[in-house]
Amino acid sequence: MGSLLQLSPKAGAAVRLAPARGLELNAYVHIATDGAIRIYYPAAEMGQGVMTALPVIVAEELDASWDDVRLEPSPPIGEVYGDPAFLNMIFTVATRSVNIYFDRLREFGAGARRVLIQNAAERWQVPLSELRTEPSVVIHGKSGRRLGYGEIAAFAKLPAEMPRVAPEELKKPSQFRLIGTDVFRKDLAGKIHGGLQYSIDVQVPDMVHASVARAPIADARIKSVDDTQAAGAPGVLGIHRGKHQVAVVARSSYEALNARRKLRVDWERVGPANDYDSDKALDVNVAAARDLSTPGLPWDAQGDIGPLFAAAPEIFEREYRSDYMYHAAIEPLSAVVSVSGDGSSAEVWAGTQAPAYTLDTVAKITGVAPERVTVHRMLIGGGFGRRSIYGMDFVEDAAWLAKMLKKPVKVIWTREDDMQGDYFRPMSAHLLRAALDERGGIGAWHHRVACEDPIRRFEPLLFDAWQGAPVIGMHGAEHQGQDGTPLPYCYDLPNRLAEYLEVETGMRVYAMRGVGSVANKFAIESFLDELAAETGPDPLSLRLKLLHRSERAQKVLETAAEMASWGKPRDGRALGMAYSHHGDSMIACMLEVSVEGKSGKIVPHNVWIAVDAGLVIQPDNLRAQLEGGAVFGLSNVLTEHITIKNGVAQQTNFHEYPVMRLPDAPAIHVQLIRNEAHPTSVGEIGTVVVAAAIGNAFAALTGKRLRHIPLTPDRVMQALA
Amino acid sequence: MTKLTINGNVVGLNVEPETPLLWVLRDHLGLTGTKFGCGIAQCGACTVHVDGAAVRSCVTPLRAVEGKKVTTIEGLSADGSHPVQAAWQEISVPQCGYCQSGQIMSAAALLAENPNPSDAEIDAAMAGNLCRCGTYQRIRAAIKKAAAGQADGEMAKLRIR
Repeated sequence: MGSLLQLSPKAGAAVRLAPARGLELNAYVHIATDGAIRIYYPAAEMGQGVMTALPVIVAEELDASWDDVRLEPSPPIGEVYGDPAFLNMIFTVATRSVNIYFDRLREFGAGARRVLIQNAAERWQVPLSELRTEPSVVIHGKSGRRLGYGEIAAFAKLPAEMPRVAPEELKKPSQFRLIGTDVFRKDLAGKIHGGLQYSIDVQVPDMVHASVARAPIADARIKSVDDTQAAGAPGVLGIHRGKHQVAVVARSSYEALNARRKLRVDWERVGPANDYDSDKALDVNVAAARDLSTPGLPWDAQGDIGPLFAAAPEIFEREYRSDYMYHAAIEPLSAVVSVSGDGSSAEVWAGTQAPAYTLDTVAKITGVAPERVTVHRMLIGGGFGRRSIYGMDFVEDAAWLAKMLKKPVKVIWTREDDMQGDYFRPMSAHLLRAALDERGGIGAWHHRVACEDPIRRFEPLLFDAWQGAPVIGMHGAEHQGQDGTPLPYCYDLPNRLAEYLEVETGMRVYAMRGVGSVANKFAIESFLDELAAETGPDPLSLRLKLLHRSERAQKVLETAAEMASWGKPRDGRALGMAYSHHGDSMIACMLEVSVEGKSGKIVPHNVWIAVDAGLVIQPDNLRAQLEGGAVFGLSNVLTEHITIKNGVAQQTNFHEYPVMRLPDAPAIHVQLIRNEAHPTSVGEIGTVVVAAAIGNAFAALTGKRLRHIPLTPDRVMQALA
Repeated sequence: MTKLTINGNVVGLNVEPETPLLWVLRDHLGLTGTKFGCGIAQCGACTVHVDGAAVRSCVTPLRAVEGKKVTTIEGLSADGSHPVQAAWQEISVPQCGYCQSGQIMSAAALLAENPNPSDAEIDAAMAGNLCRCGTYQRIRAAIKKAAAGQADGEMAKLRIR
């Protein structure tokens, strides 16, 4: 049997694939002799549907019957399954999966099919050209003979190298059977029956349970511990002090959580985080953004804007702000680690967006060689970026305790741990400036972003790999590809500068769904509407003009406008629009809101979204991503913010950090503009585009401009006063 | 010993009576379909039925359900054919899925009491269940579908692979 280990001599994990007898055709396809076709999907499934969309691409070119397909996450072997943009790791972030894996998965699917056909041809002694396939069957038309894929797996020989299938030999879109139609979702049953296990549900024989008090702020050290009450609580097996944490270990989850509540830890608070106050600190960001005498790190620059601003008859300028936000996955962080009796091997069960980091963390802490660590990649109860962080804080305690106690250990974070121990979406301040020409057109564009990009402190490997580029905080401030490629579906701003002003805080910050685009597009799209109001054009025609280079982008915007009947007067409600490109997808939205006069609550009623993501793999899933992304984004910009006092988040649970609930969710209308362009991804754009539209909708309704997200009722009342 | 009925089976439990029902289900009975989300009845992931009513099991001590009938997601139907589950399947509601046991239990309790709820009644019954993936629009549609008797129970006898 060809194994992944042969494909990848440096495999970073004990690979235990293919339990059934059969044929390991390549890294993505195993066919059992009973006809079951196992497809390994590389990206982490966290609700965005990659465990369906990616295997569908393989199954399409393999010409597999979807009923025969079984799904399994791939082992965390970067060389085989990784993303070249992320050090060749599996790194499920930044809405990339379909985009980056599409070509590779087609190639592997087609290669596997070719091997099956070659084996059938040899068995029947007929030329390859006389064979064709129907779902899961190879057919010799002349003789009427058929061999199921499972039958072939029983005798097939693997060629020394996977056959290369030329791009022109791949299926034409008109031949697709699976791509573009909704297949049966194999994860639905477990999610509707309650049978599906997340890492928090994992049971391992002899396992003990832990709840861990961790330092409330960065760099804090334990000063003293009072564990008398906790130690006496029912079921407690031990209390253990680490460098930055105190763990209560008990027989059951509840006993651990219950005893943990009785634990008193005094922390010695050192470092800059100690007296950090987020309200005051945001003023520092604003001052940095304003101070034009201090140049920032250029992120997106074209032309020389200095002389254009100096000579401009008029300069239009506005400031925007965004607060800290919390990921708020409903599955609290958790992990299980088990170390073998002789300490030579280890297993970890975790919902991780970065399995290589998970593996390395367990290896480092347990002392087990990396190739002897098995990562069980669990389905994830909400990721949104939290579970990709290099430090793997939600895995390290289980590894530490499992090694020390020589027992499998499950660590569950409480909601309070999860919220106060989060790495927040960084807060930011934005200065937008336009040098207007004589006709009120944008002669030059200037966008200064002051924030703390998380990469430097929290993604050391990527910081080096990307040479310090602030890719999280600045994301979306560019009007070209992030690699500098000109993209026609960006606004045409020939003279422009977007620059990064780093603000050091000592706070924990990280990537969260939509990353910097949420705040950057809020600023850009608000600014465009403000500019339109100042200089005359309708917001729609201004954007259409800026998108004159791309018919696709214009069509997206026009479609959304048509869906929403842009321009139609509405009683007590108003529309705001936004356009965004994101991960090579194009999106426009029209957001209809009203405001409750007494409370200042902004009520979103309808969201009309038009999107062009190229070839659509799973249309219903794509819609679901946009619906969910829009709710996530509206929740972010209407109610969500973390405030920090003396370095500690003031919100502890959902009663203090309101997340959008069903009664407040708007109707979301999605139109897919389908074509045959390379497929792109949609995990984040729904979030970004509603965030970008919210200020415009409010301004259209009230004539007042809100420039600080979230647009909470108290900020609304202030603006309306 | 606390006696109660769980998913149709009478069980006797030697568990500290103050233990929240959520953890009795998860730690002692291996019924992990009921989820821990917040611990303070704010997210609804732990929703189960006690004598037919939706309750948050994370704040319901075991002693409070003595002698009562508890139904969890695992006991809602034998084969996924409960109209709410069937509708959830047809509308493809779940994304990550973690909150969905609680959503389904809240919806099933609503429909048992009120077979034809208005939008406002759906709002009231479902406001306690958070979904961070934002599946609310589909939840509402699925409840209406189940209420209208349009969900196909046969189709929902789910293929688990």
